Amino acid sequence: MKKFGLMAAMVAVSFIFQTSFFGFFDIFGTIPNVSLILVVIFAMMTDGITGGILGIITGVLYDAMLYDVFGVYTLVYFLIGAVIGSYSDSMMRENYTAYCAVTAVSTIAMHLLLYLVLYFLKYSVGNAVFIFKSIFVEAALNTVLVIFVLKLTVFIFSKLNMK
Amino acid sequence: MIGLSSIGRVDDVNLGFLGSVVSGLQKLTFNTGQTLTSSFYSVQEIVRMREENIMLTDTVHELKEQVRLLENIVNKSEALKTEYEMKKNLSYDYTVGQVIALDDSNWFSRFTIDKGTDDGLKVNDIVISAVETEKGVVQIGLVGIVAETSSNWSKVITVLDESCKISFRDIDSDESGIVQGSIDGTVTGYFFNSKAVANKDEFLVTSGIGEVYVPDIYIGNVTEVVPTTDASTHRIVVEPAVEFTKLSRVYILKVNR
Repeated sequence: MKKFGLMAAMVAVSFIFQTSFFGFFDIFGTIPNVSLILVVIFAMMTDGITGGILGIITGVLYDAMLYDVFGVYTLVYFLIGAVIGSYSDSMMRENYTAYCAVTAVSTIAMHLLLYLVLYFLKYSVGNAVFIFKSIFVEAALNTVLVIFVLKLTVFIFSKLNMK
Repeated sequence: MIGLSSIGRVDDVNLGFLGSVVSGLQKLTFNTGQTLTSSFYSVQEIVRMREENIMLTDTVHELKEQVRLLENIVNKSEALKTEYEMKKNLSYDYTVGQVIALDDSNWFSRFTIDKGTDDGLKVNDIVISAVETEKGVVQIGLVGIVAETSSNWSKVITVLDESCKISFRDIDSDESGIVQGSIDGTVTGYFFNSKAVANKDEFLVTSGIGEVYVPDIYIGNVTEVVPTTDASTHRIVVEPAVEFTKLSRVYILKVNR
């Protein structure tokens, strides 16, 4: 429970920094998604239920604080957290390459899910082809950044004597 | 839940007290980030800023001369003079807000400000960028519209967002139309009159049709006119007046509807 509380707190802090701080430091016009990285890391460390709940917490923060249509990001992050968590046992959690691969796939999956949800909400998503480049740049940035965020997470957990 | 909230059947979900705490922390973090980047860029760009200052000083002189010529014409007519005096500065009750959180996704263009119902804000209040001068507040351009409010923070949809549709008027031709944001960050639109054509660099302002946006708020200028596939109408591409990447302070017009 303590571990879950720490994870939830880290998710909340990352949301605050993601929306209020990281926007000043774009790379090639794109900002890495640290909230998604954390959901991936925590889902891989735990199971489907914990991953799903942390995904819901992340999504609820985005939907409640930024967006007028409630539930879009909640659904997307929940699905990513739950699916990754469900298959986390069969992944090589000790290998950082696994985290990189899952993060890259999750970034693409997140945007694909958003595209589908917005399509059914009758948004004009025909121009989505123009943002492909920034999506791939974001996936690349997330893939690199996940290693550093993972190391920081492991460090924090070890300092607080949590495994 | 998604479907119900998208059609407005679900009331604002804003996390109540927790939302206030989060927005307070966002404001603190945003200010820190802004201070850091401002310090970094001011050191880095001293030379470029000096050249830009010289260029801007020349531009100010040109504009002052243009204003003198136009005022000379306007002051010769009492009606024009009265209208000019009325429109010179903001005539609406307004509040100054600070941006505290930005949407960083490619799909939306939204942000959160640190003012809410406690400051008199309501849904559909107009958000603009402006500067405060000795003579009053002078508008720079339209930023967007307040979508949801809480006690001390509010969500704003910008003109770049796909869900934002604005009725405009072309100052030169007086023709009206609709512009809309897009996922790729562009603002495009069309005239109601299919035969109307815009020229590059023409200025567009809000028309007030539909009574959502108050009239005469500067939206931007036309950068491109593209014939549609059937060549019967033209699609216009608009460059917004506001630099959204550098937005930190906004003015919210409290509109009585």
